[in-house]
Amino acid sequence: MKNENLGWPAIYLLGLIPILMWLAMQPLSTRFANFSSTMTSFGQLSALVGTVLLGITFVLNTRWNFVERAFGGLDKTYRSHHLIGTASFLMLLFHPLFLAMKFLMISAAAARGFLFPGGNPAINLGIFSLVLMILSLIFTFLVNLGYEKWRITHQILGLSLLLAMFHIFIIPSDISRNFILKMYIIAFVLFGFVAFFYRTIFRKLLVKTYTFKISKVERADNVTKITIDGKIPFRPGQFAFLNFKSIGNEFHPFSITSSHDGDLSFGIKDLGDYTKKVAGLKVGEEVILEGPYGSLGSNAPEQIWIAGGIGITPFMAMAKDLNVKADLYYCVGKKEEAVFLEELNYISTRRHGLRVIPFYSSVSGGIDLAFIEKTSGDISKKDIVMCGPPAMMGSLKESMKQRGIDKSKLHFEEFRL
Amino acid sequence: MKTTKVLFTVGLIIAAAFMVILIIMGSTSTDRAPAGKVNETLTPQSNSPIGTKSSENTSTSSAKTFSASEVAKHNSANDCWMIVNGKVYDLTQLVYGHSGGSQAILQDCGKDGSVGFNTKYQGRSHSNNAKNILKSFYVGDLN
Repeated sequence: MKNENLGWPAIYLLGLIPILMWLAMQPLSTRFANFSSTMTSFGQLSALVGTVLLGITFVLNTRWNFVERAFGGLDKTYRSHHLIGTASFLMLLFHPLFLAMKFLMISAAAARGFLFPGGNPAINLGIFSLVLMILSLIFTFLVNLGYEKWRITHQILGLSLLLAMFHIFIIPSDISRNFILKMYIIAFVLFGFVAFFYRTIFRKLLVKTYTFKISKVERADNVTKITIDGKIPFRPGQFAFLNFKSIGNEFHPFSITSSHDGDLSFGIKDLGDYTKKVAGLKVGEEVILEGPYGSLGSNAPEQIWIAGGIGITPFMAMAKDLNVKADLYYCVGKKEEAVFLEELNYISTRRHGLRVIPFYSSVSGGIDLAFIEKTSGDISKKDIVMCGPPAMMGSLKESMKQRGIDKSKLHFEEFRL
Repeated sequence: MKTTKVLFTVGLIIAAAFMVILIIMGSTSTDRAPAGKVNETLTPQSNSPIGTKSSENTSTSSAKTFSASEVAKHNSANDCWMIVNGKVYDLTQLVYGHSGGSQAILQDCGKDGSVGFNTKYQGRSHSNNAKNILKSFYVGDLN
């Protein structure tokens, strides 16, 4: 099994373990004896699994190497972070509601008394933790705050985790009396804390970064090409998080477009508020770099590369260090947008394995598999590497699936944080 | 992000709807006790130590009284009575739904569970909500 397939099975397993421990504690007949005990059981299970997933969600945000490898790339790790985080939140949200159903059997007032802060400190902590989580996630999902404010509201989740931990520690139940199960759950809360502190308070201390200066700024169409005065070890196809000091404190991911032995360069398209400011950067300004990350690329002797728009950037580095055969489909709306085409044509005179096929959707419509097969011949033996907008990659992935192309031959990356 | 946003929103709406229904139900229902149970009036003595005289309760004239040996007959998971602070409660319905675990109740079925209720064996009493819930299971006084 490839490393990159381990992420999700590991999560299923880690989520299943507390369920199994819970099952072993009491016979099922008492767990689901009546409505009241059934609701209690659901309430307990949602808390157990939800807490484990919450801890994992924090860990998925660390950009740790082993995590990235387990999910086959940082883009996929972040997608898992979103999905598992949401699943965790829903479980923790329904945890008190299940338990309230049990109280509802006694009286509505009892259920209401249970759901609002009262005389029980353990329950109060749980309520406060969940309320903080709801507030923070409302800002994450439903209010568009801009990156900097969003980050602060998202960090409230660390406090939420802290309250949840106290809640878990002092809540009396037959679950918390099972020492092993309790330690298992607490362990995930602690993983969450380690991950949280690693990315927040201790980030400057623990996360390796480089400081460089901008040495060149070029502009073509709506893309800014930035070169900086330094090198880091990386594999072509990888990206790095960059912070341009003159624009603010934000870090954004950009693919490296230079060859592995040259000064680092990046291609940045005006897409949002931040990237628009990149055009105004000046030579000599400071850049802080975190990375490299990512694992786009393949070692197959024959490859098909499909780049959509600014998704061309990782292929620039890959083309410069090419030592296999690759057909690069460079898909843009119209000719003026193919800002890397000239450089690519130059590279192909030196790297003979590279064939560049520009594709203009304003002329030919969206790119499809039929066009690629007509141009490159049988693609079933070749590895396919894709980087581009989600819609383009989605339709291509779908038709490749229908064609029965083996998933292991497909390599792609999509960044839309 | 799109899928997770939808999931988040739907989850939140369901939870909010549940809360609203609960608040409306909670404020309209005047009968706190389930059908068939004696409706006990609130007594300030409910928190005081064992030995509170039941005669202080305004509704005592209609309240039944039980002896400890009568209560002791109801000592199983399917029929669980308990003495708490001089009052008798039928906690059968609560056995498997108890937040603190069914074992905590089962060990005192048919017995005086005052110490367990007042201290949870760790020096902390139950919450006011729990006390109110207990009242709703009241069946009579200990004689």
